[in-house]
Amino acid sequence: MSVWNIIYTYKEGLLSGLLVTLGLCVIIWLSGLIFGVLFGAFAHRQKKSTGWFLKILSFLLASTPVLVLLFWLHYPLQSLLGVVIVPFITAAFTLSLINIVGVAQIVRDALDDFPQQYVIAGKVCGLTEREIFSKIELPIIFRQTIPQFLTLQVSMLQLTLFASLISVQELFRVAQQINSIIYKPIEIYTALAVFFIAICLPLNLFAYWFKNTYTRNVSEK
Amino acid sequence: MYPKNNMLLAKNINKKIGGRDILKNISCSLESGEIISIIGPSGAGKTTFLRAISLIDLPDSGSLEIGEDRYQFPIKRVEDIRYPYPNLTVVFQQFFIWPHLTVRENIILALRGNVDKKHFNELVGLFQMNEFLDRYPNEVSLGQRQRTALVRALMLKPKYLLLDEVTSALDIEQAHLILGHLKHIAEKGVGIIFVSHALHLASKISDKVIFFDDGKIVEEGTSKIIKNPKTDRLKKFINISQQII
Repeated sequence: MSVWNIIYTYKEGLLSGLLVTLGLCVIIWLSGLIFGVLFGAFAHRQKKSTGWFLKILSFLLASTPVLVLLFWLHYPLQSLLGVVIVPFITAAFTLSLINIVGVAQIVRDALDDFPQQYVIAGKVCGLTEREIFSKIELPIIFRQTIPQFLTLQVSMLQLTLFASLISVQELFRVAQQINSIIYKPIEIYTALAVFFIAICLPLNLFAYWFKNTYTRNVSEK
Repeated sequence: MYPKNNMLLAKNINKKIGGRDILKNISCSLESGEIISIIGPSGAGKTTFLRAISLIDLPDSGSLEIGEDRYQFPIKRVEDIRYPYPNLTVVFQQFFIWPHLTVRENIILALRGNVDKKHFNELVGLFQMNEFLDRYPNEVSLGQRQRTALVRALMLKPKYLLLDEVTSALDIEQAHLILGHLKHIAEKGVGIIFVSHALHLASKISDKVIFFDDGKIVEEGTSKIIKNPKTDRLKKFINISQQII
């Protein structure tokens, strides 16, 4: 059975797995975009409180394997709290948390490192604070952060594979189930790669293009 | 072009940075149409003074009059400051050209669509900027960036123009071109303070020269003080500068 035969034969199962993966992604991406940006902006404004909280949280998350985190939140924590939450929600929550912290760090760093001389130049030219924000700060920060942001989102898509550990019926779990029936691991995982490449490659290429086209050296060198 | 009574008056300006006195009781006045050069060694406080009187880094004590606006330092509520920009504007040593905009966009951004095309074309032609107007700052040379910063400020038609080493990245021909234009706009009533290491340029265009050292005004007068300095400190500074040239 070739890769294309596998995709064709198990198209319904793979499609349902793909939809679960994409559903997870949409939740993770949107929560990162909305809450990550807000969290990062707060961390920049309130360096001593929110800023430190973000630093500690990001160190902790960066040091903890995603698999372990998913396991902790799904089994021990739920039995400790006496609740049962569906695996999809647990996976969406855990991966969203990682994404929110990742995006917040990108935003916080971009705001912290923003060269103040551009703001001063706007000020002495008579621009208002609002104009300085919308015409100078925002476009520069947007251009500087978009490539990093997209790269992080691609990584988050790949991390959804770990959701299979807690029985989320996403693409990787479907692939494992197909493999248990026909035992063709190379072809099945290559088929899986086709799906991921189809989504990740355009995003990576877009990040690369955006970086080369719009990101500029802001150091005045 | 501008009323003659416009004046920038700084009295007893003091500024500490990191516990060190950078400006010690500096007073000076700039009238409309006047060009003042501030000269002195590195670390003398020239740039700090420029930043203080332009309200970028507020002085610790002293007072400032910019046209009809009065400022008494220290100021309790920074939010209450009525900034004098763009009537007063500054061109910095490091240019501060916005990197996401082209040279043309940098020049016209603060004009909010009210571009005086004649003035724009005049300045762009004078400073030979046509060939790089649509390039981004990272695609042009240092000298071209310096001209961009200057033209961005000139397009605002300020009454007071504070310039920090604006000829440092220019060749001698371009520096003379810019100084000639500064003389021309001063004749129209713009008051200019010009910080420079280049004594020959300072003596050429200035009505008044102020020599700074260690945060103090050591000597001031007409541009003749460069040829006939009274203080030993200025004599030494001029001798060393001439040896280097």
